[in-house]
Amino acid sequence: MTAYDQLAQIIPPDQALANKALAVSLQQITGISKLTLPAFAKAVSSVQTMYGLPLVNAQTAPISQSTANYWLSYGGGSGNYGAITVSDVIGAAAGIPYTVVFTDIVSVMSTMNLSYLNLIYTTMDNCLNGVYGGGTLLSPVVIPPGLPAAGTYATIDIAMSTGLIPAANTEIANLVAIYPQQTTKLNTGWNAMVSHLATEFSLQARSDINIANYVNNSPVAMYGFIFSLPTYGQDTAIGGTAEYIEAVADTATLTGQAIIGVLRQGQTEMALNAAGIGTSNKPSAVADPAPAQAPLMPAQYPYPQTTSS
Amino acid sequence: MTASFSTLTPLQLTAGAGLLANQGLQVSANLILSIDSYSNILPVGNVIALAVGNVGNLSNVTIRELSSMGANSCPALGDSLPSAYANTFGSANVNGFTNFLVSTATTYINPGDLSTFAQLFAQAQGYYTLTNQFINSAVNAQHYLGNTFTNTNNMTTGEITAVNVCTQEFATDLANLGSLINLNNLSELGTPLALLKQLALLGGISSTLAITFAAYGVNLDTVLSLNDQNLTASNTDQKAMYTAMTHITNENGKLREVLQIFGIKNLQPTTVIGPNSAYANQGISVYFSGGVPNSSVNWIAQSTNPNGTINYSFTLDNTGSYTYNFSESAVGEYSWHWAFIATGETGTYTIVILTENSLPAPPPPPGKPQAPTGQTALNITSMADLLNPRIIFPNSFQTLTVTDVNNVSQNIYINSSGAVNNTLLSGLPTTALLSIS
Repeated sequence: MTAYDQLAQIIPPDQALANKALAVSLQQITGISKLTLPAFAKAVSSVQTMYGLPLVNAQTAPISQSTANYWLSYGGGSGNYGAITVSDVIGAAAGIPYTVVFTDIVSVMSTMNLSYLNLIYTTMDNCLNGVYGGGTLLSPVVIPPGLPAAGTYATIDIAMSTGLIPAANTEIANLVAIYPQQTTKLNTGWNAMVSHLATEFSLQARSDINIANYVNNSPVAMYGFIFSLPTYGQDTAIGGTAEYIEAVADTATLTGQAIIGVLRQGQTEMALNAAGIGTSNKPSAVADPAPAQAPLMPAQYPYPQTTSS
Repeated sequence: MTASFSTLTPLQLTAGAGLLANQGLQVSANLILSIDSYSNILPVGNVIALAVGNVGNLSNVTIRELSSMGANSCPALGDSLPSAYANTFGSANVNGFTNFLVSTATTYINPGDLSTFAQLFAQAQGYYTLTNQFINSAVNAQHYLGNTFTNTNNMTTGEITAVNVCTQEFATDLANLGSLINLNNLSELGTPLALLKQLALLGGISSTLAITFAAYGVNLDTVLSLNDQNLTASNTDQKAMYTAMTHITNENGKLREVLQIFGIKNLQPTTVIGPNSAYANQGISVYFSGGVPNSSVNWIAQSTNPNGTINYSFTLDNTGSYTYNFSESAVGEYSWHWAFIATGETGTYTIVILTENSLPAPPPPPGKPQAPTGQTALNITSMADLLNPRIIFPNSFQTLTVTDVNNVSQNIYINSSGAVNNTLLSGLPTTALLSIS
């Protein structure tokens, strides 16, 4: 490379400086070294600039901060910057993230003495099933002594609303007081699940999902799902399609296992294709035996040709 | 018939057979197990379900109270919705959270008709795929250009407007330059050697040109290797090359050869237009057109009749033309062999002078040709001019720019006279300014 200090010894210094500046400027154009000057001239002649668009030209970054903020707060999903996964939209069926949270909640609960609250709920269950009476004048509800809200109630409704439900609320308040750390954890996990479910409905509304309007028993829809399974298998991100379908596949059946097999096949094919390795995984789609051919009209001229038609 | 391979694999065929029979998909078994574990500790979900199904014995108020136990303190202990979500799920609010979750999951999967799940899944996937493109692009747009972003113009034009914002004028100049610049050798732009290598690449360097370089002191070994693309030359040799180039002009006819090889459209006078016939003693106008406005042109014309030679300079007007007015008194054919000194172009102009008022009358004389509008013609007078951006970009040099090391766009020329911006001496990258010693 001939720098300015040398070029200025060869040609007039001002011309040398102009040439170096022009070269530096042109070199910022990606791919220019592969162009001929006529091709470059043609490209330049076709360029449309932002002339007359002062607000666009005033941008000091590819996108303004307000535009960035808009999109970064737009998604509402669990991915980076609010990016959305399939589990954010319909995660409930796959238990994503509910299964993990429930497991944590059960683990926390195991460190608490919930026997009395359990007894209240069991008593409620018995009450609603008529174990303590049918709630009539001849048969009032009598919750035996020793059980929560023990006493006699005219109806099941009164037993529940004035006895057992207040007892449950009182016990929950006691547990919150006794186990502040555990109940805080329970609240965190529970709120996360409810929030996620609310997000699912919100995202479904934004994506115009209306399950009630779907076509029933649609083979075409299922064909699309089956054809797409290998591609779904390639999305192995947390909450992505591979994790989702794996979670809802019924692995007790051949079908469920085959579904997971297709997901893995999608990943394998991607890797093999990248390496240039072929597989014999796809049978011919040509009908065998070939279907009988229809007797279509002759489409060739007879020889010798005797008519012009 | 050639074999056509399916996009379906045996595993897909197996999965498909089951799926079309509504087998193979279910609400996550692990989800159901985890909810069962919760219910074993606190069977409140069962109670709520029982209550909702027992509306004959329970009032709506009681059912609402039941399904909101602990909502304000610890909803996990009452299987209720936190009070903040009391109105989020509509009528489902009274079902208890675990029941509602399982019900929702079952609606998604729809075990009796898995095709609706297929539709749901596809629609969800389509939505988030498109949405994520917006989000990810926005994230990347914040930093993908690093600190090199200058403005939207440059971003959308591939940095072409960073070189020259007046793209039409710039394109005109570039088009007029033919193949003058080798864009694969920009680091040597401006050096005589790069210019000669490009000339050699396009058509070779004639012995006539080579002799000129030798005459002005270029090393003979260098001169003999001018057509070699691997040729190197010392600064001294290149200085001599430049000096030689200042003497390669059209007065010696060599510049025309160079311009032709490069394909440069040097718009010096190229035409002589006048009437084919005229009456004797009639005013006649002949136009010389296609030149650089206000430039001076040498003109030599030798006439066959009457004898005489015209040899003088004239100045083109602001349209790039010159009008020569004259009249002839003698009838006959006049033929001038002409030559433009500046370009080396030659030709012949012939006119027949007729007896005054004779018939048929001569046709109307041609009008003055119009110069191309909106363009300044190249005015290359020596090969050295080809190393001067001011001259080779006559229409666009004033808006030639470079982005300096501070990411600020700087004009290369600061005025219409072509004065170079000296702040570039500190604004260009060091590698462009200083040689590695």
